[in-house]
Amino acid sequence: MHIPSANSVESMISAEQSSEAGYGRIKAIVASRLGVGPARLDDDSRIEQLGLDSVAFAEILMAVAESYAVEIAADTVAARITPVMTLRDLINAFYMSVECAQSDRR
Amino acid sequence: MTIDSSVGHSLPERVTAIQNTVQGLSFGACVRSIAAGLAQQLLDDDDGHANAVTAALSWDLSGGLFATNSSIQLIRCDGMQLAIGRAEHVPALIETGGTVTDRVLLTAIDIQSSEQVLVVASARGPGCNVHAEPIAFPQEAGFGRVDFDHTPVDVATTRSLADPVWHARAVACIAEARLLMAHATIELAQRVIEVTVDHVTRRAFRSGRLADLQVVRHRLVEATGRARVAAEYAWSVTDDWGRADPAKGAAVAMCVSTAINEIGESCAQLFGGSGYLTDNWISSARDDIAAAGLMLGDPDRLRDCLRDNLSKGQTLPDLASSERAADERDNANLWREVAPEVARWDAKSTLPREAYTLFGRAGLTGLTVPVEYGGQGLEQWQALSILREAMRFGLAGLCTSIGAQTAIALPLLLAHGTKQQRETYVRGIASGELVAGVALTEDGGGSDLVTTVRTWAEPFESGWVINGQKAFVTNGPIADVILVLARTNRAAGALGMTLFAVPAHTPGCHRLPPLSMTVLHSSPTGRVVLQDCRVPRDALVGSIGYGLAYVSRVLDVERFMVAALAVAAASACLEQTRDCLSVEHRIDPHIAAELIDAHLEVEACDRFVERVVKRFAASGVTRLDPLIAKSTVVDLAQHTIRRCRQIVGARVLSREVLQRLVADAAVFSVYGGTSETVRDAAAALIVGGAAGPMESSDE
Repeated sequence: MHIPSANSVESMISAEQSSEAGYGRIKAIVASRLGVGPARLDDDSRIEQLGLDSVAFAEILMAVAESYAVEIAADTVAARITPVMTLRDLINAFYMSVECAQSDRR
Repeated sequence: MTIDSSVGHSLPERVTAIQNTVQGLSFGACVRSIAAGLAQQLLDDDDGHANAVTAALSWDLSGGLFATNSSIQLIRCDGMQLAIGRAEHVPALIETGGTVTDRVLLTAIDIQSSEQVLVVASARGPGCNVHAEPIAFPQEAGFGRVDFDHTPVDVATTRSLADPVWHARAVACIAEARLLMAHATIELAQRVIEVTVDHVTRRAFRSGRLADLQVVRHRLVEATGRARVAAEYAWSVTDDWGRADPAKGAAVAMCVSTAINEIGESCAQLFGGSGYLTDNWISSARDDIAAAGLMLGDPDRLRDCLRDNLSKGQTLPDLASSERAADERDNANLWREVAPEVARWDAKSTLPREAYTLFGRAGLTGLTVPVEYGGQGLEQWQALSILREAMRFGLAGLCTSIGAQTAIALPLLLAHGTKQQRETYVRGIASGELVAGVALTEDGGGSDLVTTVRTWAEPFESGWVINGQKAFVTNGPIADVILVLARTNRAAGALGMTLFAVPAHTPGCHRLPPLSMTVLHSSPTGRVVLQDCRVPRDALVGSIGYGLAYVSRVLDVERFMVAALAVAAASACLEQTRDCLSVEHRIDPHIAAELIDAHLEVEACDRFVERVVKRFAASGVTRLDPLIAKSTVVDLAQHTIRRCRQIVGARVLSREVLQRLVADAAVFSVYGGTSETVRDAAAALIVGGAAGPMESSDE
């Protein structure tokens, strides 16, 4: 897994900013799948409470991969997802996969 | 823009202002404003006294919208015109704060000429007596009763309704006001649903919430479905408004009126006893809902308005734009050529392989395929329009077979296939040379593929070995290529399924003969058995593990298609029923009324499907709409078809097309996802918050 370099404060800040932006982008995709605005989603809610099932994860992952134009291996993401995760955990899991895929490409 | 300042603006702008007002929880204020707006429009009132006039019209003129029980007469005395009589249920008569509105636009009978006239009388003038109507609702609408005792009227604004120009103008303005009222009612319905969803998600019940009960969830789906269909229908008519058309306004009003009554009762029930407490919003909403139903108009009078259209030889589908009607005529001609052949095949319970050559030549197998692959390059809605015309001839089986390719196989290959796969398969299917089957369902079921798919694909050096059995494969028995969904990772749930394009002649791939079914005779459907079926690496479609995600995305298209076919089947049944009954000397008036209502429901569903398909094609956003299409719309269509069968009775024996339509109709609630599982999926979205005001920016 790619770990952002901790050498400079700058790169840490920009990694954090892009991670925030990435979080927002992925959250928007989840919200779109649920048919609501992102503001209505509570990051601490459990994903099964939001009505997200296994098929929804697959659809969202596909949309995330398309959005970032990367290929994300389905089984590595599948291994990270559990129904009792929070929305925040799910989004972070997807974001990590994107980062992996992007660094693999590099 | 506030609702009051919106008078004089375009119709869509006025509708938006109304929506905002109702969302601010004031249906009553809307009623007040629509009444005032109507009066202003009729008077062509430019001097900016926005709320200083209201309308109270006779029943026969307004069909119930702002209709007053009135018996106002106009007499002349000393060169003045004086009003005598009483008008009850006048909206916007009492303003908030208790003051009385300045002027009332009334219908009266001119004693001298015996004509019906429009007059403006002052509600504050001499001889006037105004009373609030204490039990009138909605509260803020300011309903009241006014007695006129020799009250002078404004002579300059008196208009005779015997003048056809004024009569037509009055009718047009009323039609527009009725449409605005319909929009206000729809907003109210959506608000009721929102409040109900909120209630059931908070309310504890046994070890969970009220919202966890399937019966509650399905009820919410029904209500949401009805509201969505009514809303899209109203917008469809609003967008096409042009010259105000009383028939269109009446059609929307009836649709909305039926919907609001059902939604109101269904939702209020979920509050139990607390739904009657005066400080609970839902209890006053009940009053608003009852009022809305009344104000939209008296159903019999609205039907009369529509009946006039029907008696002139127009059928309700002619309410659609003329451009659409022309498309439909062209498409019907296409099917007329094909229909007799298909009917022969259907009677023999088969569709021979050669049929696809015929369809390919006619361009039917490549409707949405891009031109670069030899297809027609049409939009989804255009393709659906062509397919659904086939239902007029009862060709449900054929539509299913072609539809499986158009809505599932081709989109999958176009979106995720390799260049080679697209060149070989897409081009072949579009031309009719190749037939594609889609193998998803297994013996365990088809609606929940994650749990039921056991077909397993094991990798080896040069490809994959597939083992398993697929059930109910449309086109299976005659397919040249079969798209197979197989599991590749047992531990990954929905992310462990992969899609393969298996050439049918591959050793180990066995296409069994067509199943003997009581429906869809002209759609060969059969089992496909894969026994050590070895396929090369290039049989993989897309990426490993994403098979179900791909299929899930195209399911939306399939669902829209099934809904469109179901609605077309209902429409065709109505046509056949009217045809059947037209040879009778007398049609029972109840049946005639029922047929008009059914026609409206089908028209509303048709507009709904058209709009959501086009929107989906533009934005690709997966939401409630395909699920509503597959549950609510299909249910309404099937209900209509069943009623037609009952009405036609034994006459069906001499009507082959109708028999086929009725027999095949049952399958619409099964394939593409059963209505029940689809409702479960819709409920998950609604209870999770998707039923709120539309969030997408394309509104």
